Amino acid sequence: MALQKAKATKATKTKSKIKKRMVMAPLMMLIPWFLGMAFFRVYPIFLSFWYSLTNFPLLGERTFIGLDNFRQIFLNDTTFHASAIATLRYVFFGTPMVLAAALFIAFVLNFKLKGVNIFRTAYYVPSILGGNVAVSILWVQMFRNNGLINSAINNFNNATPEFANIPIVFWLTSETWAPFTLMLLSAWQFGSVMLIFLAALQNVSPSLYEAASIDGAKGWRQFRSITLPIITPVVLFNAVNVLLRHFQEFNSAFLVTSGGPNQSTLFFSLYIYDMAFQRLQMGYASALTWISLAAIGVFTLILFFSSKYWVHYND
Amino acid sequence: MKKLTLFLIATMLFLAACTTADTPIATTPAGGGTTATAPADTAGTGDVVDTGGHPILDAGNITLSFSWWGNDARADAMEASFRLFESYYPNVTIVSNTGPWDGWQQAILVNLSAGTEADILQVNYPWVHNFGQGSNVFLDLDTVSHILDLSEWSEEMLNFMRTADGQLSAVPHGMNGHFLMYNRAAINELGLDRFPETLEEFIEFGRELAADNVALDFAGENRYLAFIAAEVLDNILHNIIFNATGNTFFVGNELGFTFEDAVNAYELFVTMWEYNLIPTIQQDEGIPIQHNPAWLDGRALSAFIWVSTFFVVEDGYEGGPGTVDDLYVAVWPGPAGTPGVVLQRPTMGHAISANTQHPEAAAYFLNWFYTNEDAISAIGSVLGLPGANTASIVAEREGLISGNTLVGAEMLQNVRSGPIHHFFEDENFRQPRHIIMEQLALGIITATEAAQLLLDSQNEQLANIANN
Repeated sequence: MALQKAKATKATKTKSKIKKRMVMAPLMMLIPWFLGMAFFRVYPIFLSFWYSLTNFPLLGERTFIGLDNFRQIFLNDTTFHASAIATLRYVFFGTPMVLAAALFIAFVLNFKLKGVNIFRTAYYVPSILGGNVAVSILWVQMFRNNGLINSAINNFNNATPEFANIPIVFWLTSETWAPFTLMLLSAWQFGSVMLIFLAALQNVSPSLYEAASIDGAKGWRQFRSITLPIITPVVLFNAVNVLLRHFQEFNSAFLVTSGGPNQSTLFFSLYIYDMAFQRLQMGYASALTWISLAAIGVFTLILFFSSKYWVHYND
Repeated sequence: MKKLTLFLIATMLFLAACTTADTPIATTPAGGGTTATAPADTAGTGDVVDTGGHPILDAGNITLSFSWWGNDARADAMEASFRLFESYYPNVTIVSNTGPWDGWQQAILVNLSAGTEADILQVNYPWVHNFGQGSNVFLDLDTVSHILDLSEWSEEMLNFMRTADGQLSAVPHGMNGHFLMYNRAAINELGLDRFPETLEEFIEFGRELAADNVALDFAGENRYLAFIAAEVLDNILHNIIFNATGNTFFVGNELGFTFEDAVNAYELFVTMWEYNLIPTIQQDEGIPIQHNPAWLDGRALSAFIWVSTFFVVEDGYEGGPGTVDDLYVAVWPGPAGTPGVVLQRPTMGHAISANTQHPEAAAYFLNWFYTNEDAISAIGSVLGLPGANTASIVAEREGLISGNTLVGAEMLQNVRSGPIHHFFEDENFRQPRHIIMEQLALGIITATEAAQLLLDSQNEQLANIANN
C-alpha cells in the first residue's frame, strides 16, 4: 500500500516536472525576444517620454523643464501647426484613396480572367518596391516640371490644339499639388492592402450572389448590398493599417519634396526628424513624437468606436 | 560541477580576449625619450626607408579611425594619404569610416551619441558649435598643441573653430566663399562685351536676358536667368545685407541689420522674381547646378557657388556649348560705389574625438596630414583650398590648385570680406529663413511682412541661446 502510494507520488512528481518543463521551455525560448522588446522598444519609448520633459540638445546636457515643450508646441509653434495640417490632410485624403484603389483593383482581379495571376503579381510589385529611394527618384523624374507627365501633357496639347489645352501642373513644387502627388505615390503602393481585400472577396459565398440575382440585384447593387457589408471587418483592418502608415509617412516627403513647398508636405515624421537631427532638439522632438502617438491613438479609437455603426460581423 | 567548469572556461576565454587587445599608446610627449621605430621597407624592394619614427607612435600597434564624407575622387586621395602614413609608421593602421554627404550628419550624430565615433573626424563648420556646444564632443586641440603645430593657421582662421568657451574644437582645412561664376555664352547672347560690375548692372543685364521669358508657368526651354538655384537665396540675402550695412548677418550674439535693411533686401528679391531674373520656388526644382539644363545649355548668366565646388560645376559645364574657359569668376557685386563682397567660412575642419584612446597619435597624424609634402600632394585639391601655411605653399608650388579655383583662391585673400557666423548655418536659424523666403516667393507675404518675420524668428532663436 505504502509502495503504491510512493509510486503514485513519484508519478505525480514526474508529471508535474514534465508539465513545468513544457511551460518553461517555450518561455525560456521567448526570453531573447522579451529582452529585445524590453531594451529596444519599451525602454526607448519610456525614455523618450522622459526626454520630452527636458530641454535636451543632442549631445548636450539635459535639463528638466516639465511640460514646457508641449506648451511651446501647442501655443507658439507655427511649424507644428503647418505640419499637423499637412499630416491630417494626407491621412484624411490619402487613406480613402489607398482603400478605394486597392478595393477596386481587388474587385477586378477577383473575376475569373485569363492570366489573372500575372495581373495580381504585377499590381503587387509596387508594394514590394516600397517607398524606397529608387522609387522616389523615379517619382521625381515623372512628376518634375519638365518630367514625363508634363511633357506628355505638353505634347498632347501641341499635337491636338483643337481638342484640348490641358494646363501644365507643378506636381511637386505647388502647395496645392505636391500633397496630392505624394498621395498618388502612396495609392500606387496598394499591393498588400489589395491582397487582403482579394482574400476577403474570395471568401464571400457565391450562393449569396446567386440568391441576389434571383431577386434581380445585379452589379453595383450586389456590390453595395452584399459584398461591401460582408467585407467590412477587412475594410476596418485595412483602414487602421493604412491610417497608421500614413500618420508615420516619412520617405516620400523626405525624398520627393523635402517637406515643401511652404511646408505643405512637412509630415509629422519629417518634422520630428528635422527637430532631432537637423536642429538637434531631442527633447522637443520627443515631445512631438508623443503628440504624434496620441493623435494616432485617438484616430484609431475613433475608427474602432465608429465601427459598430458600419462594420458587420457574422456572429 | 559541469556548470562550474563551463563558467571557468568562459571566464578564461574572456580574460584571454581582454589581454590580446591593442596595446594602449604611451602618452609620451613629443621629443620624449623612447626608442625610434624600426625603419620600414615601404617600396617592397628591400631598400630601407627612413620613417622619421616618432616616440608617440612607437609604443605598439595603434589603430586610428578617421571618418570623412566625400566623393570617389576624395576617396582615392584620402586612402592614398592613409597608406602613405602607414608606410612611414608601420605600427599604425588608419581605418576609414566614410560615406557620401547625404545623411552623413545623422550618421555622425548617432556615432557620437553612442560613443562609437572615429578618433579623427572631418567636421562641417557648424558642427563644431552645435554638437553639444562642441566642448564635450571634441578634444580641445590646444591640449595637444605641443604635437599639432597650430602656428600653421592664422588666429583668425582658428577662431572660426573656437567654441563659446574658447575651446579649439577643430583645425580648419581652408577657407571657402560664394562667388558668381559668369557664363560668357549668356553675355554674348546679350551682345555685351563685359561682365556686370555693380548690382544695378547685374540686375539690368539679367532683365535684358530675361526680357523674352514667356513660358514661366512651365519650365520652358527658352528661359534665361540672372542666376540659378534656390538653395543659395539665403546666402545672397546675407551678401545683400552685408553690402547694405557693412555688417554680417550676426554680429556677436545680435542681428547685424535693421528692419529697414531686411525690407530692402526682400524687395530686391521680389523685383528679381517680377522681372523673371531668377526662377520662382515653383520653377526651381533644386536641381544641382552641375546638372541644371539652364546652366549646361548656357541659358543662365551666372551661378552662385562655393569656390570649393568650382571643379564640380566646371566638370558639368563640359556638356554645354561653351568651355571652362568661357567661365568667369567674380564677387557678388555691391551697389554703385561699394565694392563686391565674399563672405567666408571654413570649408571644413578636422577634429579629434574627446573619447579617443589615442589623442596624441591622432594629433600627430593631423600634424603630418597638414605639413608633410607628400601627404599634401596626395590630397591635392579634393578637400578644397588648403589654408595651413605649409599646405598652401606646397599647393601653390606644385600647381595643385589651378584655373578658376586658383582665381577664386586669390580673390578670397584680396577682396572685401566678412566672416559667416556659425549661427547663420545653424538649422534653428536657417529653417525659419527658408520658410520666409518660400512664402515671399509664393506671394503669401509681402517684403515688409517677411522682414518682420525674419527679425522675430531670428531674435527668438537668439533669445533661446541666451537663456540656455
